[in-house]
Amino acid sequence: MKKSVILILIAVYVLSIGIVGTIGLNVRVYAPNIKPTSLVITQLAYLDKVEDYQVGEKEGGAQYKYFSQIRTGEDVLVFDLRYNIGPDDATDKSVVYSFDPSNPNITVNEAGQLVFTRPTSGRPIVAATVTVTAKANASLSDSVYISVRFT
Amino acid sequence: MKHLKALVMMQLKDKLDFSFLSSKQRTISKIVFTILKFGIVTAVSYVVFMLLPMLLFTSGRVPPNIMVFIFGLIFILSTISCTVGLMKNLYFADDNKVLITFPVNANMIFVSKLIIYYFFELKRSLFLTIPIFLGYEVFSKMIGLHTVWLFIAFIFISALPVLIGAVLSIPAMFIYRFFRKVPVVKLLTYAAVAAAAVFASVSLISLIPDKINLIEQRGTIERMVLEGLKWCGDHVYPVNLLVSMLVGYPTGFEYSILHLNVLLYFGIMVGIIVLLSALVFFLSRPLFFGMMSKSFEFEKKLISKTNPNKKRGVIATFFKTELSSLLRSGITATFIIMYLAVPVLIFLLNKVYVAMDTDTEGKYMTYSFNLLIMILPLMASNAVIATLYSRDGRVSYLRKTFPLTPLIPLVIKVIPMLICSAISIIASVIVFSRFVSLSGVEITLLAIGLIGMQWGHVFFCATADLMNPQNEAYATTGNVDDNPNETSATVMAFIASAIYAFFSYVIIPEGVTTACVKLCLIGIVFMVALIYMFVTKIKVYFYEK
Repeated sequence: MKKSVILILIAVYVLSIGIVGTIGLNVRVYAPNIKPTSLVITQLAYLDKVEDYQVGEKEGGAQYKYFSQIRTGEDVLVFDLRYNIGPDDATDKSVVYSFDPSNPNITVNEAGQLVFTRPTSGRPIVAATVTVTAKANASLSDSVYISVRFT
Repeated sequence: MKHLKALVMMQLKDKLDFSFLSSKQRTISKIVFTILKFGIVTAVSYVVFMLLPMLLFTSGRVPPNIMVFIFGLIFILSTISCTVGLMKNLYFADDNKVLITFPVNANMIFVSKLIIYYFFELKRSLFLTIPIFLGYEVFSKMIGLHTVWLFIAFIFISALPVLIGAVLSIPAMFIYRFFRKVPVVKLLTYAAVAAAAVFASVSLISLIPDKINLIEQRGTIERMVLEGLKWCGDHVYPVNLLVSMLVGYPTGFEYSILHLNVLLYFGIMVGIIVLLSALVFFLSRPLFFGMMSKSFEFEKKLISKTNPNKKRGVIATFFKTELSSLLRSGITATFIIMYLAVPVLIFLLNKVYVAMDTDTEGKYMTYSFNLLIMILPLMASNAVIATLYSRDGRVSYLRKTFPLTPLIPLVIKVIPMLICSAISIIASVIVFSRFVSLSGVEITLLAIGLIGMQWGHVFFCATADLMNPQNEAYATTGNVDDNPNETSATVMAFIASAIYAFFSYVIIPEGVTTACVKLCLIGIVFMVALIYMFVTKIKVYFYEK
């Protein structure tokens, strides 16, 4: 059997599950507002790399999350900060990013990605603790330290 | 070079139909059809990439690792196909005995065979892999330089599965010969593979959760898919490197072709091609000559102990002959895999459907998709039947000389497939009926309808092979890479099964029993029409006035 036929058969099988699972489901009349109850930052994706977070310890013994310092020759780095928000059927899973607003080298673009730009003067390092907060539950947040050295 | 060109052209002529070149009109229509084929695959690929963010990826972007997964899958399938094909073409092809007598440098014969395979791999890339990448690039707005680079890069990339296949064909050839010598080991290997497949299926089924809601669980599914794609990217580094070379290196907001890393990856790829070429030349070539010059006249093992001749009826005689011939050929595996896989696929599909809280429309869809999955893989595997008579090579001409109606040997050749596929369909319908409430009559009607569709398609494929025989090509090389009968059989399989499944979706609201009666009638009419066509064509080709 040709490989194109095998690929199409696999696609048809997956589609047969996907179509029933999206447009063939019972519509619920009662839609309760389910608040998110957990939020955990997991990974940082940039260029073609994906980093897992690490856990460090502050002087007082408190633990904090961080990603290993990224070194890049680029002028702009776009990050996808990945997080798990639960439960799966939470009504609103959107989040907001917060970081030191006085840092002009960190912004959030229209696609909701973090953008780090090379500083025009001073040390070529941009670092910040980024906090991700659930929009539907302001008490739910997670923070991570990101540091970029522009070489 | 002149000799090499002549050798390549001569072998290409055996494998491809260049008759369209004789007519300007046919040449134009061939070019238009080729462009259309390329355009359709590109458009389908673009639509899939456009739908993926809507259905799965909340970020609105398709992760580049998805190309690593797709290209990795295609590359593995290509390498397997090249390994098996080259093993047969290099070491066991019948044309070797003729080629060795040609007044050319022996190395040229070897190189010409590899060039032929490279040519076919390039053709396959042109109609599948390149359009998929082009669809991704159009979706990602990377057209222009990226597109030009895509075509250039594939001229080199297409050599990789051929060269890897040529190297792997050496151990494959020894395994093949060992299996032929000790059939018990072959049987045990097949049994072990089947057991592993059953174990994998059972493990997979046990993983299905009790409740599935794709919309609510979208986040979890997206996360799992992203993690899976990341795993792919991390663990298939060579493929990752090739994809990075094809789509460009990420620089901030876009992917750049004009990047030092792309040049570096290209250099690595060319280096690997050179290395593999050297490996093939020094390892595969001497073995090729050894196998080529081996005397074939005394190859046949004489059987010291023969069974006494038994007098059987005409049908029993032909059935025994055709069954033995089928079991000895390599095509049996395709049928066996499909006939066993379909009931398992139906079980898996319905376990997923049961976990979904579907509405009435959803339930109708589950019926239609069940019918589609029951019939489509079986019909797609029938494409091999469209090569069955031609595979007999020049022996098939003997059929005309049998002192009996040609219908008997021709029909008996497909009888094993008719029986086995009917058993597979009955098993699938029974599995399906365990998940939905179907009465005994409805199960019978549904099974008859599906068997009618399957048998009708078997006769369509058989007719296609009889009307456009490829005996000479199979007699010369033992393998045809681009058989037009296979293509038409596959297209027919997709169209007929899609129409049948869609029709079932339209009529099921009338009531399951009524729908089953109609589907049964359609199947019977389809089968009778195609059997009639088969018999009519036999009369034209085999009955001489």
